[in-house]
Amino acid sequence: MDNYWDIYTEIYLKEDADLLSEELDRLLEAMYSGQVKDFENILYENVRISVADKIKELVGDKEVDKEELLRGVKDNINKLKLLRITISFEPTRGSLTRIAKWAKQNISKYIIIDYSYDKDIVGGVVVEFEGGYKDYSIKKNFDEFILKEKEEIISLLNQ
Amino acid sequence: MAEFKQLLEDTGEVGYVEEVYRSIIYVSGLPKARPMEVVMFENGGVGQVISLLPDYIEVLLLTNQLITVGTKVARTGDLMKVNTGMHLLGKNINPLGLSKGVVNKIHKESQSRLIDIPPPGMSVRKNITRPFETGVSMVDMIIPLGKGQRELVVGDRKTGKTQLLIQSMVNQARKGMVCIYAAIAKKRMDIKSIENIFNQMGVTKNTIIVATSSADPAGLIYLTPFTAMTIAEYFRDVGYDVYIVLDDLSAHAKLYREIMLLAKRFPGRNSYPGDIFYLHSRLLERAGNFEFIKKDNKGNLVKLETSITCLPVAELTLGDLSGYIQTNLMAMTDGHILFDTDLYNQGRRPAINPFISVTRVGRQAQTNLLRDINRQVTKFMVYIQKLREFLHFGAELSESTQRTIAMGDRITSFFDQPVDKIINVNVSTLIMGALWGGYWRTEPINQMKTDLYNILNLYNTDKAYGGKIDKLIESSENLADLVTAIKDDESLILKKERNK
Repeated sequence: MDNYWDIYTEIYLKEDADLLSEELDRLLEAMYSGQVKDFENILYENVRISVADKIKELVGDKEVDKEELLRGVKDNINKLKLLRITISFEPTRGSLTRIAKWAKQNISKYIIIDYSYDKDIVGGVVVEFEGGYKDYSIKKNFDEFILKEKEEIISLLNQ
Repeated sequence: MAEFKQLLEDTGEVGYVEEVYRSIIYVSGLPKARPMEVVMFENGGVGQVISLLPDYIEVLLLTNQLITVGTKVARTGDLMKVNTGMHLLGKNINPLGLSKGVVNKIHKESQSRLIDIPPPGMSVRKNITRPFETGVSMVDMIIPLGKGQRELVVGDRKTGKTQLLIQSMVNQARKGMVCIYAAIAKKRMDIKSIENIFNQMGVTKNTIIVATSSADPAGLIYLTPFTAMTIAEYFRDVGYDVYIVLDDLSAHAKLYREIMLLAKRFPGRNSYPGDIFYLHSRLLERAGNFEFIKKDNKGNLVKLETSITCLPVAELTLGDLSGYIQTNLMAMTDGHILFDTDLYNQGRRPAINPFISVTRVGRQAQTNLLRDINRQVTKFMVYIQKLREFLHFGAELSESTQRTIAMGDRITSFFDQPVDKIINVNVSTLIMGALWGGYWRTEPINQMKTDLYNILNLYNTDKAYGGKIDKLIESSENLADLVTAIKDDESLILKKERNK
């Protein structure tokens, strides 16, 4: 996976990974479309320039099996670790990137983020990672508080 | 949904459906899931982990919910359990312990039990010594069963297997035994009609139906006999003798084959998975006659003998007894009752072939008198069968041979029994004794049948008369004694003598 690391550095979200996977599919298909074109042309016609540059760099001047290389890149996308978060606000691309960068630095560089929006959790976050589940939402704390202090709250309300 | 979230919280684990393959679902995540653990889907569906793969866990879906890729999954931390208790008596439930169309309350006394447990060991088992009366003369006299016996009921479709089972269930339920009918992938209409019969016969309070229809998910059908056996074990432990019918295990095997082939297990003989024998044998081994030491109301330790009598059913194809599942089941049980299509087509009811049927432990539970009748009548029936083969040559028959054949016809006719008639074994014994002693020799067979039903009716309604018969049977050591005793007191058999 480390061989292709340069390509994944800018992948922060699951959407990014899906887009790259799609591009690689298109590229693999175009290589066998029957039109005689050199690889560079095909590359820049089917893939975003930033990604194309990175693939070009990866291939270099060496005689490598390009199909094998592209398939290797694609297979490794599936191995990226997915961190699912549920938050109570619609995040901007910037805030998600910041979260992803933090996760890459502190947990694993192979992490990508998938988020879902649920206003019912009020605040905080619900985290799902590698089968683990942790609810750090305000709603949960609020529910626990109400359950614990139920009688006191009722008596206060009755006053 | 609240329950699902609570499970996520409690276990701290989440999984996602990655692939759905009919009733087999591949789930990623849930790192601490273990085999046979129950999992819950986000939409309320329930499944059971059947194996752990390097990247996924393999889950068998047990409910009807539609599961799609991406659905969240939570562990329950529990193996498959069913709520058992006295409240189940009279209910028709599914293998998850839920009745249809009613609110399923959790009863205080209910006990949650694992549905798949290892069978009890030798130390708690006891020899079969108590007879199990089916109310069907042919079975009670020729292929007798004992309490705790496992007897396979085998035959082609529509040969009257279920009728025999219902007759025996009604008979035993009337005697206070807890009867459990496990309907495995049956038609809903058939399940309903069995429920109706129990209602009409007034035995609902002692019966439980654990049913799955052919429209239910394969996983749920697969659980049916296990749930039924678990409920049987509960009542056994409470102190009841339990009678359980598994109708039928050949359908169960087919469903298990379907599940295992979908789960990409290596197919063995007839494409059944390699553990099909293990699956059924560990189920049937849970039945038997047991002796437990229990505390009574005063706190004293007492020995408690209870039993689970199990009659699994297997369907044959064109009378072929050498099928894989059928022979497996024969190897696991203490004998088999064979229903013969030819006999059925000849009009014999029940269409049991006594010559191919086997009972391995039932005779040891019989009285000396019944054992003697069994021996003599079986010997006579074999003789008659051989004699009938000779008749095909058109040989001229002597008077004594004709008499013998007429006797054979009477015995055959005696064993013919309508579905709605349950004949007490003492009445059967009395009639057989009278038949053997030459009564009805000159009268038409119909007269014999009429007298039989009159005697049966009188036995059931007149306590004094019934007591006399019971005493007579009890005091007779063998068939010769019985015949002599009947001749000494003809009022038991002949109406005119009774009316004197």
